[in-house]
Amino acid sequence: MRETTDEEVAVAVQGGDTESFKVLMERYEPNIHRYARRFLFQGDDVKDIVQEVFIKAYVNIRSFDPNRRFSPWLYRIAHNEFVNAIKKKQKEREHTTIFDFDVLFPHLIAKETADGDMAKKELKEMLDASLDKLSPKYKEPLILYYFEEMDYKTIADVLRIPVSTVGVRLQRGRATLQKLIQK
Amino acid sequence: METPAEEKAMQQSILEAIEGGKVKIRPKWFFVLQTATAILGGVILGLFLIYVVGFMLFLLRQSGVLFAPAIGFSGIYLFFELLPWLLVVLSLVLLLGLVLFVSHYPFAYHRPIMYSLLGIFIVVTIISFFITFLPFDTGFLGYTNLSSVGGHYNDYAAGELSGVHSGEIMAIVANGFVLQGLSGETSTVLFVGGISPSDIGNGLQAGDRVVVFGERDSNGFIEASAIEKVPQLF
Repeated sequence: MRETTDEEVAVAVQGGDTESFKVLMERYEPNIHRYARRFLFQGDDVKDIVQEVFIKAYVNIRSFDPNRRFSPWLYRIAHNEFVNAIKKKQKEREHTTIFDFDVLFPHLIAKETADGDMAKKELKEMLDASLDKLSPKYKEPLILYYFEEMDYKTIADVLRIPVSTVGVRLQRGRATLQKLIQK
Repeated sequence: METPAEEKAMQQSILEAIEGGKVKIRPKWFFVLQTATAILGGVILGLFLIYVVGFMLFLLRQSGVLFAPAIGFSGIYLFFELLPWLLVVLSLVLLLGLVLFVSHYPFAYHRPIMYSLLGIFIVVTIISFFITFLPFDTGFLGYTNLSSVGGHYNDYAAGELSGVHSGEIMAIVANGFVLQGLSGETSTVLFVGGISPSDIGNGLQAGDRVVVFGERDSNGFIEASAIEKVPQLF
């Protein structure tokens, strides 16, 4: 039997079926938790923040458009919660500017690159070891691409930045990471 | 790493909060109202921007400053010197506000912000241009009334800025012409620096709308260093 899609489950929740929300939590809780652990700084109360993500998702579920994908919608809520948590913690300046310079102009270097399996595995290991040294601006796309396995378009939807900027941030994030490792 | 038991506990506590009524779904109308309010705000912002840019174009046309760049580098300098900067800054603030507003929608945030900025700028300029210069005439948006209470902007609207004089030729006289300003006052324009009526466009004649660049001498005559005929469209 075909498993119901996330979008179908979300529609059921919108209709008042609270039990269906459990299905969504079971499907996404591990992923959101993993995303939070990697993106947030050590010591942040990851469990509480993840719980807040799901509460916000439930409260606002009727703003979800079932014609679109559920996953980017939920990750967008998670992104907002995480950024707020970071801001509270250390008054992060990079996320408080109105416009980031890299979303202002078009970029030529933005093609989705197909990393080989080995390269991807190596990068994941490097990332896991050094993520905390990267700024959130570059850390987040790297997490979404390498650990949440999203494509550029989905990352662009979650972060609300141009698709070309996703490519640029991934490239700069990888370059920064390599410099850090060489040191 | 969270254990399956911890995951279950978190899910359970959320479900209990939902079932206990501590956490409630927001109704659909809340989001519809939120979206409608946002769109209304965006539309009001856009219309206000069009109004301000239209007013700016109106003042530049009335004063003749709009035609200053046509006389060369000195005209370009004059153009920037006489731009109504307060309105320029207000327009930029409104433009940024509108860009921020559209950047919440996928059609905008999927592309570099520069595209939204240029897109809005071009659309607003075209609409403002049309409502200021084409069939609706200057009375359409009440700019004339606005300028009469605008203090500093009275000089723009009356075409009586220092160094730029806008009006209609009443009569051609020896080495000059009589200019009737937009407020109805007449002044004598003297050709200096080798200008003659035949040098300008198809020649000057009574009834032509012109912009005269030059200062008044001690007798109140305008010493024209350059003259531009105002095209029919304006």
